[in-house]
Amino acid sequence: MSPPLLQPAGTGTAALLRISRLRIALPQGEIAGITAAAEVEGGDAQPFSVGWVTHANQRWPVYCVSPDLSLLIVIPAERNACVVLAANSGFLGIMCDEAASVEVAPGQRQALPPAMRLPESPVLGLIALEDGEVACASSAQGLAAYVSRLTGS
Amino acid sequence: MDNKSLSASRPNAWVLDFGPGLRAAVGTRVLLQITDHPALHNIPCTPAHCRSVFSWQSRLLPVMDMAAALGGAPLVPHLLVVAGYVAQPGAPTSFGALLLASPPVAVIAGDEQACSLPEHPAGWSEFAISCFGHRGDAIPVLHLGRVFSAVHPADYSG
Repeated sequence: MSPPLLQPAGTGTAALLRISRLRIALPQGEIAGITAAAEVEGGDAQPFSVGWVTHANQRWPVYCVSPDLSLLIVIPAERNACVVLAANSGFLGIMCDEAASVEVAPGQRQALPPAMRLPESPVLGLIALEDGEVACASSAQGLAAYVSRLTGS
Repeated sequence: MDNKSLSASRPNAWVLDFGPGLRAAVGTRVLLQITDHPALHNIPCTPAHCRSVFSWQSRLLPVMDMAAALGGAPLVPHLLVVAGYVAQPGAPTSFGALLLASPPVAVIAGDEQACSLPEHPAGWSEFAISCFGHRGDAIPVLHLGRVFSAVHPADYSG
């Protein structure tokens, strides 16, 4: 049975993506794979994507985001990895500087305050990390829907 | 000294400075902490007036920029107060943070000072429950439950 894709990263083990100063936490089960940035094929990219990643014998679009979640069409040098996310019935790649697993205790997680909520935002909650940083809790499906809305696809 | 004279001589409100021409008040028990040059964490895809959180006592508090919420230029976040409030009767205490342009000023306000809200900016009517006159200015009294409630309709206009 597939994991519930709509749920943001909750307590337990989460995948933590570092994208410059931004931290995004996703449910570990929504990570289908991680590849090196060098393995992203750059040619013939879809609009606002940076290339393709091969997963499950197919090519999937790869997107690169800034810390404010704008889409970038040029990959910054520090984006060393591509995380393959399982969303809807397919996959997509998101470039990141680093990906790691973290344990999230119940007290670290909180809902996004009502005053900070916007429709169609992929940020569904906040996680206070042990190093004093704050991660945005999201989901693969939430990120996929956000990218889809930005690209008009 | 009787209680009446005691209460009449003590400040019962803080006047908060959100920038030029933008001042409002809260009760003296509302403010819990003032921080100079707070460490804020920016959160993407959030409204322009509430883009960051402040870590306080194991909580991540929304940081409200009232100047931006009222249609003005965003404040440089060099001064912040933590506020505790009850959004509605019987609800637990909630917490939030407000950016300020200068330190809060304690004042004494009474019913006899009640006046109308300033006409500009129009957003005061969304955030204030009353208003009092102080040294020639109308000072709206904030309803923090409204201030920290869900995104306000104006935010959707882009």
